[in-house]
Amino acid sequence: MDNSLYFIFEDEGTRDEVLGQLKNGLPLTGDRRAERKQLYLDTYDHRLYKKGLLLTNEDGRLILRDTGDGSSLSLDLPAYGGMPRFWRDLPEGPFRDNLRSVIDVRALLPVVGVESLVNHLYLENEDGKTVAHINFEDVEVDGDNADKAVIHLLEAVPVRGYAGEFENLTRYISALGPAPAGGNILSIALGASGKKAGDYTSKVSVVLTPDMPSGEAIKIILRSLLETMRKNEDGIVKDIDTEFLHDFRVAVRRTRSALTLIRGIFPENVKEEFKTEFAGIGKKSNELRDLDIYLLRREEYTEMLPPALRAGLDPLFDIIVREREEAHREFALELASDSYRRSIEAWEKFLYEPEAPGDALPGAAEPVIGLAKLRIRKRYKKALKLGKAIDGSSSDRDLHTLRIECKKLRYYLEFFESLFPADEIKEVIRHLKKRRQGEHRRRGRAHIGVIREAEGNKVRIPRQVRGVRR
Amino acid sequence: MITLALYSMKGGVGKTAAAVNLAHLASAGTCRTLICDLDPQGASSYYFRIKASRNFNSSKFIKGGRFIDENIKGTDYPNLDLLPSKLSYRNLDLALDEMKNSKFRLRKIFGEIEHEYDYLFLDCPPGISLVSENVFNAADYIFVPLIPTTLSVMTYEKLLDFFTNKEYDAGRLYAFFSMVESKKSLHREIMEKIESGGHNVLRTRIPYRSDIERMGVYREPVTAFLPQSDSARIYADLWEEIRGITGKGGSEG
Repeated sequence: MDNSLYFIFEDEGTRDEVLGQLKNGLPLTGDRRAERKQLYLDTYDHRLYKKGLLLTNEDGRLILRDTGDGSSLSLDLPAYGGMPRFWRDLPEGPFRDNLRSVIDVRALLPVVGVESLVNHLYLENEDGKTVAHINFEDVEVDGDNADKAVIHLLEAVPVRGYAGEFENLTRYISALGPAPAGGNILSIALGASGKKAGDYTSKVSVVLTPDMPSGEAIKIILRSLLETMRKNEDGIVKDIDTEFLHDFRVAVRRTRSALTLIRGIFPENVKEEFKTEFAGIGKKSNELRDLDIYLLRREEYTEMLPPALRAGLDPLFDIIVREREEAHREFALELASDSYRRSIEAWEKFLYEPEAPGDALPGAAEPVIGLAKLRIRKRYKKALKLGKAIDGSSSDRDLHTLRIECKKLRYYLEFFESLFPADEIKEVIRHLKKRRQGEHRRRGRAHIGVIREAEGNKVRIPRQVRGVRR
Repeated sequence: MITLALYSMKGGVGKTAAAVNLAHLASAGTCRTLICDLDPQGASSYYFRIKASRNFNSSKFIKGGRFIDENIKGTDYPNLDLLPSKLSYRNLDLALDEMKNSKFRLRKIFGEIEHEYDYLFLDCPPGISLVSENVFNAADYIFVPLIPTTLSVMTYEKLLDFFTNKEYDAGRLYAFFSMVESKKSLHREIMEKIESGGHNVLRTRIPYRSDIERMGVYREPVTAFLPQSDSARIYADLWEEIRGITGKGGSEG
């Protein structure tokens, strides 16, 4: 689709040279100069960027640009009240709806600030119609430290319906020397400050090769999971949004699942020791996550009641908010505790330090492809067996067991994804995910209401609420 | 998407001038706006210096879908696009007549781009034809520029009769006075008569002004090339009034 194309110049000299050549060679008009100050905002996992959207705060005006079709939405922020963090902090309207559909429960964080001097030119056709825009920009990027990077670039902006003219223009520019840079202004600015746009993912993204020794492959998987945990700690402690804890917990759960792979590869006591450690960490975060979910679903729960009764839920949610504050404080302390630090250090030692002789068992040297096939097949058979046993009389517990088994199967598939044809394995993973969500919905129908659902999930119910029930 | 038609049975009443300036004003509030030029004369396309692609024509237009998508062009103004017309649009009636649900064809093809735009302006050809009926079925609101002359008023009354006979909702029909020369007593008298006649008539009156005529020279909306002028201000008043009617008044922009 219509997309700006960027060309980066090594220095001002080359920039001026190209500018001069363009002015001589093309029917350009305009030459308007403007200063622009932009603070780019996105979620921690760059959800907007990944959807081709750029959100900036420019002088108290929020602008959401779609780099796909060049369209934009804007919203003036009130002079007071500061930056919105969540979609619900914005006034109702299309801006909020658009943002919400992409960022969902995540908070907006500043990504990078840029100050630009822009020289705006138009390319016109024989009718005097603008068929492309050219912006020469000096972009100063706020780094983490005091030194600021300045990038000299040219942005060629297409106009809808004039693709041919745009192609000719960019070819013309390329012929003058500069090569088009991939990405957009955000990724370019981030690159200049040594970062990469959209590089965080909560998914297991490891690249294994079939003949890689199993011991090495497993450590690669586990290291990636540990990295995900560590990246999310700060956001949990600062309480930026609920996804940090969620991603952290998923990484912990996946770690425990990956640990079940190490039989015959590393000594059994490694598995036992760390499974207990990670189970403990997971358990300590259960309450905070449960309370997060109640608050995230507040609207949904409230709407289950007739309007006249809805206000009656407020005292309950007040209690949940207070309990959640307490649970957050406790878990943040846990992350800062010596025992947590020691667990992580021991785990890092196992993952990163060279093995002493005898630490690895014979299986560690076997190619990982054999291990992957064997273990996935076992999980698959078990899930199939459990699934076949489900009928109309099955209990919630049976369904829950099946659900957990399917999740374990999915985790295995995700660990070894890179060993199999991408389209086939992605399809299987997608199906397993869908199955799980369908299950969730059924469970939701069976347990209507906060308290009953909590019971079904074996969740600790706030003391005060247990009182209310009777 | 809100669809607004600028329509009149009579030609030369200021339809295109209104469509072009109103669409420009609508898009300035960061609302994604499209003008669809339905008139084979292509005046609104001309005002925006836009020519349709060589291989675009009326039968492709009424096929909709990718033919629309590929032929929409960006104007020189942010958030404002235009679907240019072709001379072959003179055959639009015939082409529509061959379609199933021939009176609802435009509604269907505009429905496909509903989520791309906040406003769609239809710059309609004069006359009353199958194209007009498509417009009446596709538009949420129909705005009729009215020169305050006896003949114009008579034509407007015919349109109202047509709406009644064909059971179209005349509540969506709004007239506004256009090319008004307030020095002429006849203009004044007719305007007073119509305004007191119980019709939907907008308060804003578009005067006869040379700077509006000059749009053909500058090939830009008057709200763009003379934003501080009286003409631009009057179109802005008209747009505010229309926004109030379409329920988008005040909060946006």
